[in-house]
Parts: sequence; structure tokens; C-alpha cells
Amino acid sequence: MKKVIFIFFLFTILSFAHKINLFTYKEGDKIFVEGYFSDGAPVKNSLIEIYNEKGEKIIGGKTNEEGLYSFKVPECKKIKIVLIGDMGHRVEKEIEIIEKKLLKKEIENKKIDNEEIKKIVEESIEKAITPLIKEIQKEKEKVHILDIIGGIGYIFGIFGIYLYLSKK
Amino acid sequence: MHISEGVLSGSVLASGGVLAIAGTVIGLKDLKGEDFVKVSLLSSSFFVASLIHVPIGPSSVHLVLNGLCGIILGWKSFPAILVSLFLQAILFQFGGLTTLGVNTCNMAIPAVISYYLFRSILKKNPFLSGFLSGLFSIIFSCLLVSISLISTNQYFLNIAKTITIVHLPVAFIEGIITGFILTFLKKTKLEIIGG
Repeated sequence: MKKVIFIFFLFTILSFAHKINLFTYKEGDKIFVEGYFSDGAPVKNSLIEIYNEKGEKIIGGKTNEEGLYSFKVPECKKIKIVLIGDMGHRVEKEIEIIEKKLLKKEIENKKIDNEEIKKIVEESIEKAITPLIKEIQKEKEKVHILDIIGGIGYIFGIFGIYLYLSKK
Repeated sequence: MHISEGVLSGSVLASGGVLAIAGTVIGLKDLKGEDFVKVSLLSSSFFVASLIHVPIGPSSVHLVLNGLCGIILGWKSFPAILVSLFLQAILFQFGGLTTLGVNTCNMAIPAVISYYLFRSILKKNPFLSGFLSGLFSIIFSCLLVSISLISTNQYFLNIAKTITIVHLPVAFIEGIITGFILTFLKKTKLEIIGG
């Protein structure tokens, strides 16, 4: 009976995750930022700050209920996005901005050369693989059971080495 | 409760580091050959407890178990917690290497204090002793995290309140689990809790 209670409690404790992750993608002329905890829960109502390459703050805001925040692509080459959660959580990410402006008029006139076709294809591919990249990023951030088992091994190893050295 | 890199100021990081080193030195002096298994075992439990997240509702779930470390290990909690936080930082980027000292203090100081407060009732009532140390350690850790964050945020009472409210259910459940573990250990492996 005690065991049952023990397992029951183990699975009903409420707490919050220990690490926040930042996922970014571009859609049209906007950059979307998504903050989530290591278990996938969104980082709600948290401060977001965007800095340019000189380290000046250019945009600031808060994530919404889904942990999302979006802003127009700024006119600089590199930006740093910082997400500040409460209780000492913080994550930052640098992204490079590559100019990709479509010459709409010429497309309408059907004067599309190779360069523009390339741009259009690139944009649609970017859009199509966004969910895929998201999955891969989330998978990478996950805690894997093998790492946990490895970590336990390291702990015994570290104390074992200490014991060996201190006995010498 | 792991504070990430880049949040705290240099002076807070440095004082956390110095305190953590002092605590670890005291802990290691206390560490004898026969304690090896005990310390490694509790260090591993601490390591695993904060890693296995069980998602429930909008939040996720995990234990801290610093109360358990404290009541069994006393000052030896410092090296035990330091090693597991170090591994959590390099393997999973939980917390960080620069904040290692501060994080170690935040979790190990309550552990050591609960050793002195509740160790005496361990023989008579292992459940109560475990419950109180689990409960107290989490709440006191919350307080220490809030203190560490003062330099970045002036609203001390606000952070302290949020952190404690979020952790209150964890503190209770941690107390109950620590109580069960100690009761169980007293019946089956008395040598671990040290008679």
C-alpha cells in the first residue's frame, strides 16, 4: 500500500521546469520567437529583449499566453534575442538576418529570372520545414534517460576517485 | 530553482562561489571511506530527482530532495549537491557553471540546517523528521533563491512570494516522500541513516 501511495505522489507533484529554451523562425517579414520549458510548456508573459549588433536594445516586449512573441525583421545584420523568465531563468540566442526581398512588381509582370525563382523556392521551403526544425530543436533539448544513467555513473566515479586519492 | 547563467551580478556569483567552496571543504573533511556509497547514492538521487520531469497540466513536475540529503549527510551534502549540480550544468545546461556556487549554496545550506534541526528526532520518529526537513529545505531554498535575485530585481518580496507559492505543493510532497524514504530506510537499511 505504501508503495502505491509513493508512486502516486511521485506523479502528482506540481512544480516548474528548470530550463527555458528559445525557438525562432521567420514568416514573411516577421520573426517569431517561442519560449518553452524543457518539458514543452510555454514561457508565458515573460520579458523579451532584442539587441542589435552594437548591443543596443531595439525592441522589447512580453510573450503571450502561448509563449509566443513576434516582431518585424529589423534593419540590421545580426540580432540577439534574450528571454527573461521569472525566478532566475534566462536564455539568449543570436540570429543572422539575410536580406531576402522579393521584387513583387517583376513577378507580376512575369519577368522572373533564376534569382527570383531561387528566392521564392527558398521562402516556401523555409516555411515548410519550420515545424520540422522545431521538432528537432525540441528533441535536442530533451533529457534522455541514457544521459541520466551516465550522470549517475559519473557521480560514483567522481566520489570514487576522490576516495582513492584521499586514501593514498 | 537552478539560476541560469547571465542573471546574477559578479559579486553575488563570487560570494556564492566562496561559500560553496567553504562548505565543500568542511563536507570533504567529514567524508570517510565508509561514507562513499552513502554520499554517491544521495548525490545520484538529487541528480535524478531534479531531472525527471513529469508533465502535468500546464506545468511540469519534479522533486529536489535536498532535505533528504541534509538529514542523512549533514555537511557532506555540500560535495554531494555540488557534484550533481555540476553534472546537471554540463550535461543538460540546467543552471550553469558560473552560477554553480550560488546554486550549490541555495540548496545545500538548507540541507545542512535541517540536519541540525531535525536530526535529533530521526531515531524516535523518522517520518516526522523527514517530513519537516523536506518541507523546510524547499521553503528555505526558495528564500535563498530570492535573496540571490535581489541584485537583479528590487522587488524582493514579490519574487520571494511567487517562488514560495509555486513551490509550496512541492515542499509538502517532498516532505511526505522524504518521510516515507526515511521510515523505509530505518526498517531496512539502518546503516544508511546512521542508526
